[in-house]
Amino acid sequence: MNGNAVFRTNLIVIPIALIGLLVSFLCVIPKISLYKIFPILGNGLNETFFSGITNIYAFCGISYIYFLMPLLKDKNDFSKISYIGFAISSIYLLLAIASVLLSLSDAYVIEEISDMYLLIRSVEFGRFFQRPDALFFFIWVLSLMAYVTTILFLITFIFKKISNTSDRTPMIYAFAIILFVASLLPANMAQVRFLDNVIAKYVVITIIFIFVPIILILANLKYKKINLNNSTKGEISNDLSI
Amino acid sequence: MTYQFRKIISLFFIISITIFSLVVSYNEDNIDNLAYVVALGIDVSENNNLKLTFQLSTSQDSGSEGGSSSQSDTSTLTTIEAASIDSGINLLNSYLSKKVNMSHCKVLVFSEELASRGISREVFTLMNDIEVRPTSNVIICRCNAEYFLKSSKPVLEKLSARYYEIAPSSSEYTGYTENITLGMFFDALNDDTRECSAILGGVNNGEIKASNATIPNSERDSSYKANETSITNATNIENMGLAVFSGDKIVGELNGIETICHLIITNKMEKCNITIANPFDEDNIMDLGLTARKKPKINVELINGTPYISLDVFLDATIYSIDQDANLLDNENIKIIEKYANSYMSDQLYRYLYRTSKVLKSDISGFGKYVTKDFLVLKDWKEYNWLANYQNSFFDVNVDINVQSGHLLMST
Repeated sequence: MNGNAVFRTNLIVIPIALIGLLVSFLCVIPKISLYKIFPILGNGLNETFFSGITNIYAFCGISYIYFLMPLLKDKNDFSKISYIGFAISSIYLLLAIASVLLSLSDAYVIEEISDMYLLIRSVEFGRFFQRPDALFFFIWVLSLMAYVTTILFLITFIFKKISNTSDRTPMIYAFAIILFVASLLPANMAQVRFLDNVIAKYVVITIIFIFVPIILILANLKYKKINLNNSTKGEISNDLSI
Repeated sequence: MTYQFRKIISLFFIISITIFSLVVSYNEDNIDNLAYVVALGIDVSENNNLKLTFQLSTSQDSGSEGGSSSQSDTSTLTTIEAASIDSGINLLNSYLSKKVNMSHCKVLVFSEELASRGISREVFTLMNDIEVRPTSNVIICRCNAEYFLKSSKPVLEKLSARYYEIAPSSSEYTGYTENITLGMFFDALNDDTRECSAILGGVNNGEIKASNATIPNSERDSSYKANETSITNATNIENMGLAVFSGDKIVGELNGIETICHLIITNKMEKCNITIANPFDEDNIMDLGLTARKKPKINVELINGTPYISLDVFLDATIYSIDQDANLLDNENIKIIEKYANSYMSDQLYRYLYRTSKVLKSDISGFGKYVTKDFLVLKDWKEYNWLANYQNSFFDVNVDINVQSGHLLMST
């Protein structure tokens, strides 16, 4: 898998997905009721701000920023790209959540995809175009394919670095098969929901907020130590030469 | 393996997958293999089961030309007694030569008898069906659903499906019913700030009900409900008024003018006609066309736990009926008409509000959402139980109608 192919595919698919999401938000505006945000504290202060802190998992997309650095041609663009990516993701996440929460009734179980699908099903563009859900489904499949290819690219990229191999083409088939088989393992949606809401949630939160900062702190300490050693060696060699 | 050879193999795979996927789609869900349901009627059978009436589109639908078509040559009705909707569809599948498909079902008709027992199970089942559109209309018929569908005779349309699709949209210019869909009904059913309502349907056989004879002339036309209107034609279905629910059970019906009030309060009224007594000639009447000037201003306060609902309604009116000696260019005359119209609409709104709160005990207008801001957490809101407290409400209604002019004739 060539990285360029993945990036180019994403360059085509992501704008389509973003436009699709924006259009779906605009379509549900008449259904939106701002009163749905009340009672403002929801299930209570504790549930909202303390127990609900794990909902920060919604921003798990940040974790991909950590993999960006080695892929960039110009490393100086890293912060700019990260900020732009973070801002766009946040805006669209907010639009998606707002359109679901402010227009759907509480009876719908909040998940990432099915609620958006249910929302689109109830939208009609006049009497002629009555099934926008088919278009939504098409865009969703495209987005999913773009997402899976990116994930596959990152997996093989990391594995190549770890195993120090020169060619990662055979790895692609192996990981694609593993991903496919793993996706068939959950027997029902309850298991998928458990994996997503419990396992993946806490693993990602641990990686982003605990594991990565620890690695960065240790790397920084190591960097300082090496610099310190180099500078001391330099001073000693200077003294000796004098 | 050369690059050329790999390219050929890849191409072969892509073409094979494309061809096979298309062939499967042709065999499974082809238009020739499907029987499309355009309307579903749900009754209670004598054995306490569901009696399902499927109106299936026939192949003549698309081919029929000229003149108005009747029920028999555009679609066919099949009635099945079953324990549930899905088992009924299953039974129908075993009976028909084609697979039943609900994706073009435009109307879901529930009989009043079933609605009085509760229809949440049926509504949840239909919402869970991927083929049934949430945009299908929900009608509660005042007769049994089978008779309702049997009596459906599209007069100005060739296709039953198109007829069902267009008929509820008359609410946009009459205000005598509301275009209520399955999705809207489901949302209201699961909302603790409001109750559900549905389109009220009936079969008109041209007889004027004796009860309507006592109503004053100026109010008679808007006081009808479905199956009561004075239309003289062959027996046909009509939608007029709304069915009011408490939870999933029907508790009452609204007539034409009450439905207009409901639409005004919920800001869904686009255009409607009202008839008031002529302020210049008590024995005569005056027709006004109403449109909303701006969104109604609603405020709900809890005074010692009792809801006090204040409502400001802003409407524009156009005078439709005009007499020989009318002078609509005189500002004084316009003021008098405005005063009459304000008083009439205010009375009607009070009547609607007190009927829904004290008699029907059902907040179909959705006032509950204006109270949620007074509660900090969901637990307190649930404990307050708005839907039970709505019956204690008091109202203050202010109507501001701005009479603009006549249509073409201003002064005669």
